[in-house]
Amino acid sequence: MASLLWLAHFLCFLLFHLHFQAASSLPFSFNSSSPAMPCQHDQSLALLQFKKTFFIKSAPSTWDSPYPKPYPKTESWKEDTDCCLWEGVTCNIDTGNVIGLDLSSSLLYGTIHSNNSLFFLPHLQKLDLSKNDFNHSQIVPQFGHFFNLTFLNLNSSVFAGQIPLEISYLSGLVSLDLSWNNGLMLETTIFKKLAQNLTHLQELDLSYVNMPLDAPSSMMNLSSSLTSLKLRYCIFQGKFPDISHLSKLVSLQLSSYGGLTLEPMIFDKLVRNLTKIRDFHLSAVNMSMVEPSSFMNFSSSLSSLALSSCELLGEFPDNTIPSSIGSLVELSSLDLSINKFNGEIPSSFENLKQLATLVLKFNNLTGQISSSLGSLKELSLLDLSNNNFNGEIPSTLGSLMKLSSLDLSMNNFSGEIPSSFEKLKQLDTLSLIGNSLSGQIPSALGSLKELSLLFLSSNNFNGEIPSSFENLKRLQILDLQNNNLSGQIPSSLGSLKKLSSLDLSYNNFGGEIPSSFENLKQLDKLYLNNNNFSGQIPFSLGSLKELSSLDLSYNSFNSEIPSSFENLKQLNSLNLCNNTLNGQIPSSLGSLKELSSLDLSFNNFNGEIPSSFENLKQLDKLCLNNNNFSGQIPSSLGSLKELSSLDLSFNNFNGEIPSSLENLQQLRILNLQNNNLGGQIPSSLGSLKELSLLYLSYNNFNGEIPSSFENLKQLQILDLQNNNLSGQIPNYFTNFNELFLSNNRFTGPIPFQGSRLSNVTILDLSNNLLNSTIPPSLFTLPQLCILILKNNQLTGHLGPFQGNQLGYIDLSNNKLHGPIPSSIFKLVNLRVLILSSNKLIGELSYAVCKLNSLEILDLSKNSLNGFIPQCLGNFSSKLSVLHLGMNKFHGTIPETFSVGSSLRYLNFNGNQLQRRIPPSISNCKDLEILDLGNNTINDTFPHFLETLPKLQVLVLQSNKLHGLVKGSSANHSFLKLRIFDLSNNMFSGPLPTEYFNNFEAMTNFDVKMKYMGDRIYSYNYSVSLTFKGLQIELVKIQTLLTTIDLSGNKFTGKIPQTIGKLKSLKLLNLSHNQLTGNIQPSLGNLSNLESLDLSFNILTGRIPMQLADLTFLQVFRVSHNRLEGPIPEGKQFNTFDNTSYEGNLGLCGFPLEKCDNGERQKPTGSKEDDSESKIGFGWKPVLAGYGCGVIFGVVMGYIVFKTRKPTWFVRMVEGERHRRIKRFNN
Amino acid sequence: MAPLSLLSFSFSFLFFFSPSLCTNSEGNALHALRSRFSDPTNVLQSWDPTLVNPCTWFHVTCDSNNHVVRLDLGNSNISGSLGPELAQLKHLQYLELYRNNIGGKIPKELGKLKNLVSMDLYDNKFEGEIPKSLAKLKSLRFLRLNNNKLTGSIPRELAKLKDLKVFDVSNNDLCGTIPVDGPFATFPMESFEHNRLNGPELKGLVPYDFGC
Repeated sequence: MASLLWLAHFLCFLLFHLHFQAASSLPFSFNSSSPAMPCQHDQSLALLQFKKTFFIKSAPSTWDSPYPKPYPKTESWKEDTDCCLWEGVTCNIDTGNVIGLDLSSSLLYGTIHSNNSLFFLPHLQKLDLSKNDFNHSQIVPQFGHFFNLTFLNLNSSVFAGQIPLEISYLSGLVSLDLSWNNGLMLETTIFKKLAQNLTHLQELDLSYVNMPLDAPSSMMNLSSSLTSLKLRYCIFQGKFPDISHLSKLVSLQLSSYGGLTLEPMIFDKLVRNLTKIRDFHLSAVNMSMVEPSSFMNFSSSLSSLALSSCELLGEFPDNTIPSSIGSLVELSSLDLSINKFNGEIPSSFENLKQLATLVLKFNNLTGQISSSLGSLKELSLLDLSNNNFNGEIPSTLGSLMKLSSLDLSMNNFSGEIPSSFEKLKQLDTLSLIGNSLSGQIPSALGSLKELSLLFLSSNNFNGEIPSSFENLKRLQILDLQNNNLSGQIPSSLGSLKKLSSLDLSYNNFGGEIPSSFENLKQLDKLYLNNNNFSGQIPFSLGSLKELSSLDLSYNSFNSEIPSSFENLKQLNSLNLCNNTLNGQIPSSLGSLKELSSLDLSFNNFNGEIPSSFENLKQLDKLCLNNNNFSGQIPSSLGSLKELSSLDLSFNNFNGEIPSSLENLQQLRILNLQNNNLGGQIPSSLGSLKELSLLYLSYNNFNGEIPSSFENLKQLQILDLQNNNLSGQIPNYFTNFNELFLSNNRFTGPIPFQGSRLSNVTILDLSNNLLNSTIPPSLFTLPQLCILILKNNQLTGHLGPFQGNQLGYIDLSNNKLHGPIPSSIFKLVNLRVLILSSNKLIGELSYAVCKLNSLEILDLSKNSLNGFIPQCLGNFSSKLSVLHLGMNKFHGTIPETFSVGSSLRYLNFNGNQLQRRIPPSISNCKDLEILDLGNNTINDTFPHFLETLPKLQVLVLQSNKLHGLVKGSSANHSFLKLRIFDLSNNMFSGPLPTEYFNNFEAMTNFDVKMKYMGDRIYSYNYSVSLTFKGLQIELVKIQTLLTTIDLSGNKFTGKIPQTIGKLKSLKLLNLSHNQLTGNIQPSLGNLSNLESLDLSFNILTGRIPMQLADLTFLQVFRVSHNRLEGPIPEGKQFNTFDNTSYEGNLGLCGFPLEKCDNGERQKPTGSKEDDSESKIGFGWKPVLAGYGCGVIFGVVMGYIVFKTRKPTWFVRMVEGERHRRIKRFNN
Repeated sequence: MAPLSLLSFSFSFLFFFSPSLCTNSEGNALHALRSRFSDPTNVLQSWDPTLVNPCTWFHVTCDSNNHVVRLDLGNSNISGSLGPELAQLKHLQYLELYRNNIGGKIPKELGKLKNLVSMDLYDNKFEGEIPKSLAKLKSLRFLRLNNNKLTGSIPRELAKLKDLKVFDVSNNDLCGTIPVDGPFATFPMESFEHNRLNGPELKGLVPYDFGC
């Protein structure tokens, strides 16, 4: 009601003053300060009402923009003052009518409705509301009622909706700017009306206004009075309109991202007709058909030419930059970026003496930069980045004294930074990123005092940071990453107080972080990762309160996390991984509420996860893996709802997985492997719908896989190996890429029927209790690459294999039976095939030789029979393991081993192979293990194996080998041999002393224990041996094991003395031969010997007492020889029983009868060697001897044992003892 | 992904740890023992818990049933202590740990080693008392505990060990009196020298722990 009254009053007022309107004919020539008619009251009221419509936003604290800093102009608008004096208000001097309102950048916030009092200012000629926030207001039709308006600017003011038809009523408009309102729309019909009606229009800016794709046609109706047309960031399609009638056009700026094509004829017409044009800017307009010759016709008055992203000359094979551009001598700005130009910069460019801006980035320009570029003295911005320029940077660039920005990044420039650069005193920005520049960073750069941005990353700079850099007081960004810089960080860098980003990562810097860094109060980003920094993380870093990113990873920092870090309230990303940091995580880290990424992995942190972490509500990524954290996983982690990646692996967390983790609905990666977690896997994990990678392996989880896992539709990798999980494997898995369930107690069948696992590439179900047949569909999974089902109780037949690219198959240790299917030999990518320890039967087809990528073939421990295919010797040049042991193969060993073979392990042990050992084995120069034992080979010793330089294990036991084993005189035979087993053959003649002399590997100690095997596939070599009296299969062969077993032959002669040199020997068995002579005392040097068997020979003499020094000897057998004399005493000889010695001529001493003559083999200096053979000296005789009163005896005993001094009592006892010894000796 | 690159990529991950197959209680016991030891000369480096049984480890000997019957680590520079897990070596006959720097108490659980023939712990740093439980080792023939820091008295119960042939506790800090029954009637005096022993037991006249 009140507003209606007010409106009535206002309308009367308006009518009354109507005749004052438009008194001035000169727009924009007002002077509100001159003594003139004061403001009209109604308009004053309208303005005050207008003011009340809006809130005032708070002004920004910092202001880097070239535009004026916003401030609230309406603050000065006060009641009872002359509105003509108010800021932004212009009145007509004569009438006092408000004719101009300039509220640009006034921090206004609010909506302009159609009843806004703004529209009660009918005399307005100029209205500028740009750069405010009108909160998605419509441009209401009332804007069309300012009939006197000549100037309307609504730029960047958050208007939305349709531009109303009424705007086209403003036929007096000279300038219209509706640009940069994201959400403003202009219909084609209204655009047409605008073009037709606004006949006085000189400037039109509709940049960023949404228009229909066909809008360009409307442009043909635009008034020919236009001097400036701006349509930037509009989306047009179709053909570029012919606007060549706009002959007064001085500035044309248009960019389109819809696929607007500019045809050569139109371009040519534009270039010819727009004779006044000074700024010609087209971007993202397809000009690929435009001919190079058209550029000749540009008006010579052209001052600024920008044709960016125009696919310029894309249709021409020789699309070099037209040299005619070099004749546009008025050009001050040229931008040809993001096109497809190749070739060099035209030499004609040296004529562009007015050029201040040259941007040629993102082309394919090549060659060296001509030094003549240095003659363009006006250049202030030069951007040649992202081309293929090469050669050195011309030193003439140093004479571009006005240069403020130079960007040569992402080219192939080499050489050093020209020293002439020190003359670029105006330089503000220098970017040389991604070239091959080398040498030191010139100290002279430190004299460029205007430098605020310096990018030298990804080059080959070496040396140190010049100390002169301390002079770069304006420096805001210093980017030196990925070079070969070294030395310490100069402490003086701490004086660069404007620095907001410092990146020294991926260099070789060392030393500590200078304490001066605490002065870098503006620092926002600090990257020191991947260097050799050491020492403590300085406490003072905590004072860099603006820091949002801190990366100290991959260094050698070794302190705790400074408690001062709690002050880094802006910190968004903290990466400290891969250092040797220790201590507990300070609880105060939990107060860094902006933190979204925290990586503390690969350090030595301990303790628990602080409960304060529940406050890190922004946390997206938390990596605490590979530390020594312990305790339970805090349930409060479940409140970090933004978490998408959580890695707690390789710690000592215990307890159960908190069910609260179900709240982490963004979680994609959860890695808890290698902890001590237990209990059941919580069913609630099944609600993590985004989960794609889940690792729970190497814990103690029990129970079944929760049925809720069926809901994990995104899951790609599930790793549950090495737990105690049981039950059946569920059948709902579908989308997996990799499934690891090995080393659990899963029972029942393999569930995957059909082809549901169509994406699975790795399937590892090994080491469970699965006992079904293998579903045939498993062998046809299209993506399957690795299939591991070993160590289960699977039954049934194999295959058929079909339709996939399997590269690795391990089905060993099951109960599979039937033949090996021929389809397996069609898997041409197969590298590893392990079917050992099953019940496979039948012959091995020659087709196996089609698998010419095979590296490991292990079919051992089956019941395969028939001949071994001869082609196995040379079918795959990559084959390194061939294991056919423990089968029923007969016939001969393949003769076809060829030069270049990669074979390292060859095992035919335990078959029925006959005839000879093929000499072609000596072609396998990489051979490490050869096991042909337990066959019926009838041959002489294969001396040709001597030359195999890597042979470590040779087992020929239990064959029919015969003849002499006489080593060659060459010094390099069997140098690496560590296991030498010829047992149970018919070899004769003397022991192979020459070989003993050459067994270099048996004389050395391996310091580190390793296993023999294939590292890449983790395949362990195995061998069968007699080990301390037991026939044992060594499933892994330690490199420490050295053994010689020549037992069960017909060797004659003496044990050579030189055998005592083989100091690393663990087992020595020479039993069951016809050896004569003495036992070598040098055997006492074999200090690692654990088993020595010399039984069943014809050895004579005594057992050397030196053998008592073998403190690791566990098995000692000399039975059934002709030995005599005392057995050594003490140490290990205390522990051998009669069977070690039986069947000799005259051995005596423990454990046999005492030596008759009292002779004892007592190692000198040994005290502990009490043995049974000692004189039985008891207490009873002593008691009888002193025979005194009881109390006396006790007291004396006490004295003796307490004082440990000789007393008469002791003398008496000792005397007694000596007498008795004497008596025994007699 | 091409199969080739997939293979090479996956394997480091797949076999990052070779799967532990150790379900052998004797192997577990020895591995637990190893974890108590400090082994500066690496004599225990062959003790790999991932092997099915410990019979291929050095310094360990098994019988034909793959049971550990000998443990020989004399003179090996080992320090540390023994633990109750040794009791799981139910078939052990020889426990040879002499001349090392092993300390702590002799675990009473060693009394469960029913097949033990020889226990050589001499020249170490064992302390505490000789466990009475050793009297349950009916097969024991050799018990050498000399040159340690053992305290307390010699348990009378040991006199029940009929097969005990060698007994040596010299150079300790034992107290009380020396048993005279059973095999103790035949042990020489050197076996008891350098202790705080008060001479032979005088039954019924003074308590055996007289002077402790």
